[in-house]
Amino acid sequence: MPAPMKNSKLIKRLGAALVALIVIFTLMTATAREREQITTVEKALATVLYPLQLATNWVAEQIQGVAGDVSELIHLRDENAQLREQVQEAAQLAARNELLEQENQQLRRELQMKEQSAYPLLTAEVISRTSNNWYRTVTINRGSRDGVQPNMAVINWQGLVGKVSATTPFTAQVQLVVDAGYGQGGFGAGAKLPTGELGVIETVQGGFVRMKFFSNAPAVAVGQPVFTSGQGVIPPDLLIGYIDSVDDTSVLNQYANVRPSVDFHKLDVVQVVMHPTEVAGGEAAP
Amino acid sequence: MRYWVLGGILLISYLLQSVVSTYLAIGGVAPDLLLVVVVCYGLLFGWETGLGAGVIGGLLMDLTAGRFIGLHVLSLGLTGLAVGLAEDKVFKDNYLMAPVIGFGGSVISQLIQLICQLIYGWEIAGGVLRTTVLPAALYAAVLTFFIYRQLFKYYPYLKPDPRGTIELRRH
Repeated sequence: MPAPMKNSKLIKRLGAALVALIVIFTLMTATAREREQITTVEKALATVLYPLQLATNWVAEQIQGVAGDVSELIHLRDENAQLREQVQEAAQLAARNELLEQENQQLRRELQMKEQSAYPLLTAEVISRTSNNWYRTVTINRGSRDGVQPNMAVINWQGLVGKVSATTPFTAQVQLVVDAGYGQGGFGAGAKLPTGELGVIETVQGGFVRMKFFSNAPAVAVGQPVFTSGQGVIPPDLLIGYIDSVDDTSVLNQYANVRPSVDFHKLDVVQVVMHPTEVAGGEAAP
Repeated sequence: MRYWVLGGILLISYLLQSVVSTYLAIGGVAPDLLLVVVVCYGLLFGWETGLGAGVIGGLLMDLTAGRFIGLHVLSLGLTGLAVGLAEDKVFKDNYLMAPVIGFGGSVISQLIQLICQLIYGWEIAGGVLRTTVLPAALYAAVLTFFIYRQLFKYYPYLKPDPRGTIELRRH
């Protein structure tokens, strides 16, 4: 390309650029600040672009909607997991609450019993249980250091639980009324009815308690309460249970099956009757 | 050159920017799709296409903004021109070069806008370089990488060889 022609093209371009810059800066000067009205060109452009913007916006909204749904789904999943956790926590709390309520009621009953009892009582907690066909015992958290001695009666608000069979400095083993060896040797087995009928408590294999009457024709009826008689190591007038049925099949002895008043499956807190016993202290019961 | 395709892409990028860019904002910095397309055009097709795309895209932006008309025309136009002047000095198939130029183009464009705003007495917040210019340039660099790759794939279609295709004749 000849030099003059090249220069002419360059000059033309520079001129066009200069004009463009002047136009641009003029426009910018005119529109740099807020205006009351826009120009016709701007209006026309806005009108032409409006449907396109509307369509783009619609697409964007759809995409945003899908993205929002996915996001919400993820959020809901998290929320669901949180709520499940909360429900579990609430259920645990409710169960614990119920447990505490039951424990509170039991302790109230124990306290009431302690206040009304004629004997000094030592509160103890059951810390372990042994239960099979032969032995039904529990271990309590009071021992010889607390003054607990063998053959002391153990009760709760429901009635006679059993008697202390062995002690260690910090614990004691309690032989339950339903233990097969409870009535052996006659220790702590004396029983009586409100009618004055006397007898002994025997516990046979399988945890069944029965009362053997001294009389050949005892006045006994189903539902009657059975108390300790005070004969033996256990203080008198502690509720053992209720007459469940009368067994008169034996000619030599009269028996009655006794339903223990204590629920041995729910032993948590018991009272050790600190009454001095004949075996332990060598003194008579009051 | 298939200008109608380039125009369509430019229009779509403008629409996307005007409608959905707020959704794509990261840390308050919205993507400048138009700038990215202008930079890509400049790199692929030279200064004339870059300048033209910058002016048209900037004009669309300015007219719909309704104020400071010419600001985007100037900034995008000059950016397209500057990038386009480097078109024959870089290897088009070097994808890593595109984000660097996208970053630079974004900085140039934003600096032109800032200078114009300062000339016309606009108040510029302190630390704008750190809070706006650099994050926006980084965003533009990332977008340039992806958009440039896509456009480069269709380069032979967008800018067909004027000599036509060579057919091998079997004798």
